[in-house]
Amino acid sequence: MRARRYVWAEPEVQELLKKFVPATEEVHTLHRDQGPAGKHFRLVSEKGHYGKNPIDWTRQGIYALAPSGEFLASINSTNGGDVERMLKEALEAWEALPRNKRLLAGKPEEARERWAHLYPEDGMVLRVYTRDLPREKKMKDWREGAWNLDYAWFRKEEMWKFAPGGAVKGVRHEVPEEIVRRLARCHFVDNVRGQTEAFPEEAVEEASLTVTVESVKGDRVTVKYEGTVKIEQRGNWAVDDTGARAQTRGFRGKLLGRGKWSVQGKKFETLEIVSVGTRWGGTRYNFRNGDLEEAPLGYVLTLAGPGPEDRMTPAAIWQYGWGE
Amino acid sequence: MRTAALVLALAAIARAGDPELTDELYPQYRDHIRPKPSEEGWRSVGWRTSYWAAVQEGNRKGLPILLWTMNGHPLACT
Repeated sequence: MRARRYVWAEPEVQELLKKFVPATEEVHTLHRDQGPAGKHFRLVSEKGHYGKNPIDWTRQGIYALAPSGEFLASINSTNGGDVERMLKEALEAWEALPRNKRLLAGKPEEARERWAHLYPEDGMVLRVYTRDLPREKKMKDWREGAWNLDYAWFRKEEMWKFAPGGAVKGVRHEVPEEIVRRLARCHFVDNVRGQTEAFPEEAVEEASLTVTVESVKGDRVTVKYEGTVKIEQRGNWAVDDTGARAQTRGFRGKLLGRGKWSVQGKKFETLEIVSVGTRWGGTRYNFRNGDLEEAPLGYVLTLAGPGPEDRMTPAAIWQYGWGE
Repeated sequence: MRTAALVLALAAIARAGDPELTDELYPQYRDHIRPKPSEEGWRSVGWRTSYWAAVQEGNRKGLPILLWTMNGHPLACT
């Protein structure tokens, strides 16, 4: 997430990127993919900055390559200047590459994207932003302003549970508990500074969300959301390099928000829910070691847009129970 | 716009225990949590969301590919 902030917003870097096709992908899936994408990526990554590491180690980073699979340059850095230099080296290598070595030899094979077919075209997709709330304990580095983003998917029949129960002020219903529990354990996680895992089902102690019709104006019905979540997991796991030991992690918080539903359109025009509460604990890769005590944390859930960048798969999609 | 006064107010709430969430505080929390435009400059790059689709595009256009790949999708939770 530091690269988002410190690398790609740099004007010099953005200018250089115009000379490439800029692509993103999740490295674990790509590195292990047995289809044409994985085979092609490994041609490149094994010549890159982590290429000498054991095959099951991460290959995350930034790679420049020719469509043929010829390696041009690579780096794993969150420093804009370093990446700018790498991009210039890559363009020099591209110019030096004979034209007959730049492109794929034949017609590219077709590849299946692992989760794309599960995207809820007629359902609802929410961006889930996460950030620490202000507190007395200040960080003196990137952690102070850290935030993260995930996506929550809801199928059509699940989206309807967030919709008004009727176009009459005061009508109220509960979003089914299984939907709120999934939201809680998959998305009310502490990923502010880095990746973490979904909570197990048994960690959810409380998960409720009430939908109340607040106003009706023609076709538009405004609903108010109010809810509570409490999640706690206990067990043995590592939060750093020193190995597993007894840990607890969790979040307890309130939810509040509103949505504007189009009766004729049968969809939300707007929907936004804020949750604020208290988190504690950490996991192996969420950079909370040394910051495991209770502290305030917040989430904003808001409708995602229609663009390709908003079709990202939820980090814990396999926990949804939607199959593959 | 986040102000020092707001930060202090939120911090004071946090010190007192679990943060309180009311209609009055709602916009302040929302504006604090959501990224500012200056934090979303990376979105303007026009990232392709599939490596293989980008390779095929580069092949058609005769352009090199720049891949940003992380543990967790770089455009989502990484």
